[in-house]
Amino acid sequence: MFMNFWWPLAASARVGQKPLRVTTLQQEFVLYRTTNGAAQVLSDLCVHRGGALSDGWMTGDCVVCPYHGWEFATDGACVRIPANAQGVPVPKKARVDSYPTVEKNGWVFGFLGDVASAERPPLADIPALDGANARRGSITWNAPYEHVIAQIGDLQNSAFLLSDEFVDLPAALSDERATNTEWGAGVTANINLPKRITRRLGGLVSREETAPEIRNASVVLYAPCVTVHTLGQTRAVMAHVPVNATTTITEWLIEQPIPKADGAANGLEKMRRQIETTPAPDSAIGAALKRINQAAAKHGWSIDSELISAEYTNVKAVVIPSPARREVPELAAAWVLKKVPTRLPDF
Amino acid sequence: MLKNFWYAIAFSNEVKQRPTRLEIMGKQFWAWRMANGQGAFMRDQDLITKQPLGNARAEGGVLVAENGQRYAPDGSGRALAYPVKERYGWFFVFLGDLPEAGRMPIPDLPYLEDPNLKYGRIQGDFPWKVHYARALENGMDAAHAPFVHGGAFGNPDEPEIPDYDIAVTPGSGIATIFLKPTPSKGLWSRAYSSKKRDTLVKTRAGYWMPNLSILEVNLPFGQLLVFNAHVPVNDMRTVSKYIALRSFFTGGWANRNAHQRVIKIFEQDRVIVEAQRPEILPFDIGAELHVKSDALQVAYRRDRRAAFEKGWGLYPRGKQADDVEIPSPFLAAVS
Repeated sequence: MFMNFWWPLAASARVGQKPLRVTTLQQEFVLYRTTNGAAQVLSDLCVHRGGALSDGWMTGDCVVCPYHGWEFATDGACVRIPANAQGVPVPKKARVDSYPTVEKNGWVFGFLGDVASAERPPLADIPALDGANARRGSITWNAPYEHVIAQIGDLQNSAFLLSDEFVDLPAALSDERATNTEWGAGVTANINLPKRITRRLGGLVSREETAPEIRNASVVLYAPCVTVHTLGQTRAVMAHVPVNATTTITEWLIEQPIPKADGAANGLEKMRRQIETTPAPDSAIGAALKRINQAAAKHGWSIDSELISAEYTNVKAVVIPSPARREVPELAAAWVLKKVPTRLPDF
Repeated sequence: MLKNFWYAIAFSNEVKQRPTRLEIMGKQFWAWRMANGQGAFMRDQDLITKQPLGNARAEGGVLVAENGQRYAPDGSGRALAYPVKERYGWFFVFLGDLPEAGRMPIPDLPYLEDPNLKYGRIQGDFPWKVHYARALENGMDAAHAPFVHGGAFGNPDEPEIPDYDIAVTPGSGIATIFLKPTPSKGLWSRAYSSKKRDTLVKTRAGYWMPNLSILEVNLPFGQLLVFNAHVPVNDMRTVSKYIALRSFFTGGWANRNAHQRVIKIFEQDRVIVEAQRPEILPFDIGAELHVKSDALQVAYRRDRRAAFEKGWGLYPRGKQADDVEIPSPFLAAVS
């Protein structure tokens, strides 16, 4: 798992005035909207007593810790400590990490990391699936997110997920093409997904048959964990967010010409066994994610989740550092909670 | 978890001649009462075979394991045993190997042994998924009341905690804080007249190492005392064994209502304290940010830290570990 990416943290529809807890990269975050509707991501951990801000509430544009009522502004600074006497200044150290937040085409992204904007990998270029036919949902996997992406990013698996009726695989691919960018990759092909039809033979007599149907299929990967899928007229956006190194939540939005009540839920559930127990296929998307993550590791962005599990969990709170830790020298000594440990890059 | 303290781990009336198995600090123990009434406390593990004792029973002064092996609770047997004392209605065990002369005694608590005090008394259990030191800090925290218990006993319109003094003795700190009152609801509102509402409420809160807390609220119509033994079941679980005394509605008819009030307060705390991270209260004082109103919690953390620096931390990495045993003073004396 890597910091210094724009992580898709929740579908926009789930983020409101009531603070929402999102667990990713082994850390807790709180998502909420200010009075003007802007989404904001903060570290969920109150610097005072480790309370969960996401169990709190909003006062104006501040999220309020439910334990002692400390109020945090969108920049993470505490602006009120109710137990303090009036006029006592709020200490500089009373702050939590605040992450750059962008809302785009139905998703709230948080930049979970501390590098300057010029060094940041770009935001996923996802399409807007906001038509009346759009459906959304989520599924939790007992699998690492890289594995989920390698499986769901496989073109045939993707076509299986998006097809309006489930067909026998493998389906034949033709005109396969792959593209690679620094922080992404795409695959496209024509795919033959035989369609079941009922042929009338005259009178009341009919016969079930399959007829070949060629549709264009594609999968595009945007680092760190978004996949965009098409199959003919059907489109889907999926965010495969690692809760920790072994658990992943796939949150999805799908738009189908003839919407199905369950959207992609049924197809994803049918893939559970394959995703959780079989080795990842040698998919172009899976390979691209490996390449991207190797580049991220070289930057020193790899979170040492094994060390956190072994030494920190339950004993010591650590947080993903926010840009203010680097960008605001006056705050250099103001960070009470330590940064997550990262792995040294291999050379 | 810290060794070398007297821990209240049960109510006395819960320990009978028939042995009960208890989990404390992540380990299994047997508690029972010998024929002469003396309490006994022993690890549920044979020192040689490393096996649990199975369905053990008490016989004379010893515990007999399911396989017939006999274990004396004084260290002469093949299981770690620990000293027991009873006071205030709690069953205390000394977990550690410090000789008797060096031990901090069971503290003298106010009120509980006063024969002239004609208070209503209840006691009960509140089990929750928290570290005991987080539970203890919560149990003596005045600053959270307006936010977590607003309406019950915290006043959301008056969240300010005035400067307070702490009476410090070795291993203990008791703060006296004057707070604005909260109007009562339900049965207790009958004792609350409007003219008393402007009186500041004297509140006392404090701790005794390692796991006792007190919250004393002097309401205009009487006194309410909540003592807690926060029993460390393991790193993630605690049973807070409360004794609540009240100077008003002292009859048994009001006990049910008093229980309901205590449990309601605990349930409001549960959501908040169970979500605290890290779960285990840090030994490092600087790991969390303190403000003036936290002076009492900081005093407790300093006492914990001091014990840790004496080498009394059972688990060097902070988390409990299966390969660490809680040493027994009897065994130290024998060997």
